Amino acid sequence: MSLIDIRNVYKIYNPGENEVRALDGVSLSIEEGEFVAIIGQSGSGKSTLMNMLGMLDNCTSGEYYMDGIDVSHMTDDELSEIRNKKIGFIFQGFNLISSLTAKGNVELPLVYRGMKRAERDKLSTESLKMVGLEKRMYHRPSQMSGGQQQRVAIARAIAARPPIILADEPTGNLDSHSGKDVMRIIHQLHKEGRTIILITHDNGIAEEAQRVVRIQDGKIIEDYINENPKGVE
Amino acid sequence: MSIWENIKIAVFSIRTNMMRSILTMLGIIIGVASVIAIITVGNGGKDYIVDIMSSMSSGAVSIQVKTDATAAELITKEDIESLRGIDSIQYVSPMDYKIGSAYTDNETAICFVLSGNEDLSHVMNITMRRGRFFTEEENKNAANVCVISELGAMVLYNSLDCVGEYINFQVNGQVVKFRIIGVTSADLSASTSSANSTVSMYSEMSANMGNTQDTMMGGSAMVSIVAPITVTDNMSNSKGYNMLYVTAKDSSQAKTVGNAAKNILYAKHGNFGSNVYNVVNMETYTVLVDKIINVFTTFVAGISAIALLVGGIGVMNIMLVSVTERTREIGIRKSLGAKTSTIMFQFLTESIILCLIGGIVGFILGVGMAAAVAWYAGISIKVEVSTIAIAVGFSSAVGIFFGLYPARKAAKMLPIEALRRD
Repeated sequence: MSLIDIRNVYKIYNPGENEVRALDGVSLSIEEGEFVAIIGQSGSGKSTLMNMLGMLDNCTSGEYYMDGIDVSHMTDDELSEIRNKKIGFIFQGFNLISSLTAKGNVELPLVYRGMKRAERDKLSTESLKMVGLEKRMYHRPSQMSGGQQQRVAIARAIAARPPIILADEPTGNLDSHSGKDVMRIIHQLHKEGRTIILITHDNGIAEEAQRVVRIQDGKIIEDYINENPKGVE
Repeated sequence: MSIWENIKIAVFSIRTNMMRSILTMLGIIIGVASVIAIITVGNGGKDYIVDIMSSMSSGAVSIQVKTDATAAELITKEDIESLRGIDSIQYVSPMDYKIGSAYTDNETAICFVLSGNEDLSHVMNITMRRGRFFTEEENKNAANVCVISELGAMVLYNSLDCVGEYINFQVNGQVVKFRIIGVTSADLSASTSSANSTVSMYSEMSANMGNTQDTMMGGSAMVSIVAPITVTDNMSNSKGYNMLYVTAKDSSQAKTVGNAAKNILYAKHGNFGSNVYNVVNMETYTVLVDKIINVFTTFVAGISAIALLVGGIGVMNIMLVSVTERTREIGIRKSLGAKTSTIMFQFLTESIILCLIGGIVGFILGVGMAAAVAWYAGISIKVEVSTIAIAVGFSSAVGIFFGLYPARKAAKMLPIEALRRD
């Protein structure tokens, strides 16, 4: 049983004459512990696929099983719960809440899980330590650099210890130095046993993954195992 | 997530978005303050009017003789005496008036003389500021004494301390020299006007003003005095009176006593069925007062409704904006596992806290505004709980509804749609 198994997924905008097939019959399964890069040019449908995998968007048709459970027919609140337990998101634009401190942001998924304060405190501090920001816990996003903000976002993604990390162009808004920092952390997360799904348009970054799925015009055109994943310098 | 946790998140969110929070509260503050101020001042004004109207009445009932009555049907001294003998009647006084001019050594004015017997002070609720009212003895002897109104004293003597002074009253060529024995705070002409013949009284007044114009030097200042009815009797050698006042020992029986008095008059004059005597009691005027007050109340309610609406729209706008600009935040929270109900509860808590603070500040401001207006207008106010409840309740309801409605819409969106908003 695959961790993620999507079958024949379509996402069609404006059905009819001017329809756009963002996903045109995509089937993909991902096993636990894999590091998969989904690569494609802009408009290829890779972000739509990521939103679909992260249950942030619904598909026009198709099936989605996670751990063998059909999630394609779940209610909004059930999906929220699954996202909270299973998936940590890293967005290109960080998506931090600007009024909260780094720690406040990292604690959010724990709050929604109903954790007690002491436990939240421990987990969020640990996560921020893991991304090297223990000294910035009480800074607001606006007081941090892009790289630091993305690291806060990573800390938030891992705080609740989800098995899957979904990263959408995590280095897209960062300079190359910060980008490398972020990639280093992502490799570390993979080493710790998490399943990593990384969306990118950058071949160089895709080469760091163990498996590369290339998408174009809403279809998977290539899906191969990278025998010699490139390490981060 | 616990309620306490939620309140903390809400307070935090309110504090970190201070400007937005203040603007939101401002809508509520203005709504609540204006409604409380308007209703409170409006009700104060209403009470003021009611007070004036009710102070005009002593609980007395008047019996008026129709203008087309014959001389034999007029109320006589003997009628008054027989009414006095009735157990349930406490006070009874005939009433008459003369309008002419008054002059002292220095001043001249139009003069309204109200006359009755010694009971008049009771049936007309005349209270004394200086001196005393005239006695039974003085009335019997047709003593030329009078009680002057406060206003009259000020007009003629520029002081309330005029007891012992003399006023010359002139009408139709006759002059009577009255000695002032008291000053009353009652506005006598206003009291009398509640006794139906207002129109005829004022027409007579203007007619006499024509007659007396040559003797008048001081313009249109008006002085009212009360004198024994025996004095005015002598001036006009009338056969009887057009009006009398009675009060009942048991004030709840005023109407019954009035009707009994009327029947005695018919019996004494042997003119049952002629309908010349009319009983007029406060009830007749309460209908009028009610009408005035209803118009006033509707007016106040109308203005308050507009204030509520304006306040409500203010709250609505700022709530819509404040939630709409947080759509992305809602998207982030949902992607991290927040359920629709969690988001709704967060916004509900925020809205309630904002409305509570706004309501309290608005209440204080509204009462302050009302007190300032009341002080300026010289009326007294009292803030009613229902007013506060309506003002705070409505503004809060609007604030909460328009905070929750867009929050619910955003919370029900697909997370990706909310995340795409800026």
